[in-house]
Amino acid sequence: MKQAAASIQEELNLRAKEFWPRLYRFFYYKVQNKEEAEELTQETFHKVFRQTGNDNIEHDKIEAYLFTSARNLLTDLWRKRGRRPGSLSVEELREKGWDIPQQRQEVEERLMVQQALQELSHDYKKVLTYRIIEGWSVEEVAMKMGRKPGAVRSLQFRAVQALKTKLQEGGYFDE
Amino acid sequence: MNENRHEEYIDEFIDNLRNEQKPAFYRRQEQGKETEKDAELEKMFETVRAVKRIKKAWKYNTTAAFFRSRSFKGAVAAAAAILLVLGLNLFNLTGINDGNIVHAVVEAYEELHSYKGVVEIRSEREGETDFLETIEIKYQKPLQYSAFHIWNNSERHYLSDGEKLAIIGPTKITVDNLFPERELWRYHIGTAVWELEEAAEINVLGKEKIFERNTTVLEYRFPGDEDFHQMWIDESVNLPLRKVLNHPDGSSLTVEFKELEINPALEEDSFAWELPAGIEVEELNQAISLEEVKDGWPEVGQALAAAPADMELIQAGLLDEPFFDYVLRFRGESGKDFLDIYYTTTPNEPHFMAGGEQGTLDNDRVEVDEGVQNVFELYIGESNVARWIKSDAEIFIVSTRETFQLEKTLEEVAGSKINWEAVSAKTAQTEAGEYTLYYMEITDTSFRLEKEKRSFESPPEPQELVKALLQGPEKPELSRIIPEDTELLGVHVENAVAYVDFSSAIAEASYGSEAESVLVNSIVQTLTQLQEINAVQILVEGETVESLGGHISTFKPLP
Repeated sequence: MKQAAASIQEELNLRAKEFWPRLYRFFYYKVQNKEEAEELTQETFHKVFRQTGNDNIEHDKIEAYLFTSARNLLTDLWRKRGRRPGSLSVEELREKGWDIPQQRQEVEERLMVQQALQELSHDYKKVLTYRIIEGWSVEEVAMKMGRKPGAVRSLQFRAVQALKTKLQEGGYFDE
Repeated sequence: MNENRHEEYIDEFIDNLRNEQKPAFYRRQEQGKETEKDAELEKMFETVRAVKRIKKAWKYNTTAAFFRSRSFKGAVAAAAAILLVLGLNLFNLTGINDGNIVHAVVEAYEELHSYKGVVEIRSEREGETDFLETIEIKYQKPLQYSAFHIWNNSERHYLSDGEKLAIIGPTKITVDNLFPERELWRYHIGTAVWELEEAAEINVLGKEKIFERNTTVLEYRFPGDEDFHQMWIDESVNLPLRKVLNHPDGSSLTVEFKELEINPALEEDSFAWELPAGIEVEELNQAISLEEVKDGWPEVGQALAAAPADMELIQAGLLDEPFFDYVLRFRGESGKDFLDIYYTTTPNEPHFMAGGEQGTLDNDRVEVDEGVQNVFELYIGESNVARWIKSDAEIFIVSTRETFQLEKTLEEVAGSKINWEAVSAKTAQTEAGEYTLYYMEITDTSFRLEKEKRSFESPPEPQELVKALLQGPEKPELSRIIPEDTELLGVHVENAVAYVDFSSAIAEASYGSEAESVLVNSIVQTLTQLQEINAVQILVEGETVESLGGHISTFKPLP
């Protein structure tokens, strides 16, 4: 038993380079910031590494095991944050981990968000583009738009609200 | 739930994502400081993420945009860095250490004596290819090569026997007798290797299979440069297969070997000097003896003696180009290490090189600059340069060596020291009483430093200039960059350094790297045009601060 567990850890060790970027990409897509994505990726590895000490799983299942862990971690997190967790199959997860843009669902999601953005008023579109896509600071956007920083903050809030409503109508949040 | 709180949360959340940080809201939640669990708020957060994901999709869709985004690269780089740490502590990973990779590449290049392959050079802008060139090359160290270039239905054959280069076109042959490396450097494997050696930062991004070869993908950055470039290292031979150079304007240049054979068996006559008959030959530049150089450059002996002792003179030449008459070419032990000294009896215009240094040598002007791109379109990549402009002659040095060595060479030629104090280069100041104030111009896509001339009745005190910056520009198209509620607490000058003390408001605004650069430069450039000021130390409430916005260090006086 011990022998088997140790070699699973070895295998994990050998293939960490391969798994890490896939898990990281999966998490990054979900949380959209590198700090959390790193935390979650690391946590997944630690968790699986700890568990393989006791569990005796087959070598070719390591991948599934790793990705199931990742999914559970994310589901727990969403639940903690008051969000209804969607269901994600391991297969889907594996694919997502690989190549995000080619995923049909994600392309659809993106089109939907782009469409919804287009329907917003000029200023809403502008403030969201400047702040979130191009990443300018509130002060910089204030200068670009000729408004006071406080006005930009409330404009962006109303813009997010408006976009949320549009996405909701389109069923974006029904995972 | 009160809407104002939500407004703050969204603003904070957006800023956290822009900075690739874990949202502070969740952090507080984990620490039990935030009890609100609001499905609506979470949906708004998810909406923000959804918008940010579009950005990511853009990056995948257009190459140029892909490389423009720093945050994504930063993310992947950080992942790689963490992987390293994790590897060391937990998994004992080996072979993914970037230092090792550079070492392996440099060693592999040392082992290389020849290669053969097909290179593609591609320039891309906004995802569109605007230039494409294919080259079939055979190369043998140190400088023999035969390359067929094809672009836009044109074809040229570059043939170098190691000492001279023939550029063979359909109707004309040009023979350059002095610069056989012309063109080669644009795509040479050695160039990519040296770029890695010179990089200030290298990160492993991951693995990729290209052209049926397994490669390790790296990103690297040159010293003093913010933009990262990428390189794909073939794992079987440890040599670069592809590199992508990213320009700050969003365009990129890709050089890739679609086929590559290392140390192949090359036919003996691969580089034989055989020019096709019946085509007009134009000779460019001449290799000449030192005796012949002396005819036009009597003091050439001093230059020979002043060149670094560990370098060897490989060629002396008479030039056909308009700017210089003679050149002495020195080489160090490694193939890339060079120092070329140019000479002319008709000095060229002084040229203020931004970021360069100026001084005097025997009362004549000296200009030194480092990291100059593509000097004469001949030295591809970055080189260091030094000029000494006398009334009846000019000496110009281009080299891979550090600028202090170039300065030393000039000093030895002159037999005296460069005086850096007596800088005659307060060029910004045009007439008595007219000074330049630097403000910001906001365009659709960027913030830029812009000038505005102001007349002063008597030479202004430094605080007058800073106050003018605080008051803002007269031109309507320009903007003040120092935040409105900032107060000037004081200015004093000591040892040519102006200490400018602002109230804390200046460091409280949040600046992007571009705006911060405009801010710092507007203060520094406005003040350094005064004779008595060479550098500016920005203070906040009387203290030095690390940075005003997190991108530019203000810990030391800025020149």
